[in-house]
Amino acid sequence: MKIRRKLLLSYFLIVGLFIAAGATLTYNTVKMAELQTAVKQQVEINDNAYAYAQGLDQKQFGTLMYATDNTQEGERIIVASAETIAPAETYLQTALANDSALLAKFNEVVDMDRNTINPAIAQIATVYNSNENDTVKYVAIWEQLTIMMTAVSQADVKLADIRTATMGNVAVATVASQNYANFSTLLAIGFITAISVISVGLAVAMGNRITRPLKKLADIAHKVSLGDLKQRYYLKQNIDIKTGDEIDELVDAFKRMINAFRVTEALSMEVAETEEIVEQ
Amino acid sequence: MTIEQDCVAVLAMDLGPAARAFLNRQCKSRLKKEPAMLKKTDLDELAKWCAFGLQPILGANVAENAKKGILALK
Repeated sequence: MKIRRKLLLSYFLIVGLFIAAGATLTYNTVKMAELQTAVKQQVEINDNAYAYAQGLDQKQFGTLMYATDNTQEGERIIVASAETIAPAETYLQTALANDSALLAKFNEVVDMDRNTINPAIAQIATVYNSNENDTVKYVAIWEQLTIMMTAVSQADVKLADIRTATMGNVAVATVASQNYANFSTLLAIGFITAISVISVGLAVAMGNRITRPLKKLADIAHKVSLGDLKQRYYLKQNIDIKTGDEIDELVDAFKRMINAFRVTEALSMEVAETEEIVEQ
Repeated sequence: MTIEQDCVAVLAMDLGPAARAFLNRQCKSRLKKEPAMLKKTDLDELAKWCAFGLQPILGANVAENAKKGILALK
C-alpha cells in the first residue's frame, strides 16, 4: 500500500471516529431536547388541570355566595371562574389528544361541569329568584348545593389524578433525560479516549513504518558513500526492508545502485589486471 | 528495439547504469563481438557468460535473474 493511501486511511479512520462521536452525541442531544419539550408540555397540562380545578372551586364559592344573598358578588365570581375554566379546557382538550386515558378522564370532568354543576347552579338561581317561601327555597337550594359540591369534589379528584399522572410522566422523562446526559458523558469520554489512543498509536506506527526503513537506508547509503561496497550486507539481495509502498521502490533502486557500483568496480579491476598482465 | 537494447534493459533491472558496460565486456571478451552485432543465436551463450560473470560479484540470485531475463529474449 502506498504511503499516501496509508496516511489517508489513518486520517479517514480518525475522521470517522469524530463523525461517529458527533452523530451519537447529536442524537442524544436531540433526544434530550424532545424529552425537555415533553416535560414542558406535561408541566403545562399540570398547570391547566390545576387552573381548571381552581375554576371549579371558584365557581362553587361564587354559588355559595349567591345562595347566601351575596348575589352580585356571587355572579361576578361565577363569571370569573368561567374565564379561568374556558382556556384551561381548550388547552387540555388539545394537549391530552395523544393520551386517551387522561383525555377520557378529563372529558368526565367536563361532562360533570356541564351536565351536573352548571345545571345545579342554574337551578339554584331559579329557586333563589322564585316566589316560594324561604323553607322550600332553603331545602331546594341546599339539595342543589349538595349535588354541585359532590360533583366538584369528584371533578377535583379526577383532575388530581390527571395532575399525578403528568407529574409521573415528568419524573419518567427527567430520569430518561438524565440517562441520556450520563450516556452522552460516557460516550464523550469513551470517544475522546479512543480517538486519543488510536491517534497516538497511528502516529507512532506510521512514523516508525516510514522512518525506520529510511533510517536503515540512510545508514547503508552512508557506508556506501564511504566506499564500503564489499560487505555481504549489501550483496545480500534481500535487504530486510519490506513495507509494500514507495520505500520498497526506493530500496530496489538503492540495491540497483549498489550493484552498479560493484559491477563497475569489478570491471575496473578486471581492466587493471589485464593491463598489468600485458605490461609484464 | 535491437537485441543489444533488450539485453541492456534486462541487465539494467539489477545492474542499473552498469548494465551497458557489463554487456559490452561480456560480448567483447567472451563472444568476441560488438554488442551491436548480437544475434538471437548468441543469447544462450551470452546468458551463460553473464551469469558466470555476475555470480562472484552480486551473488547467485542476481546471476540467475540475469540469465533468465536474457534467455527470455529468445
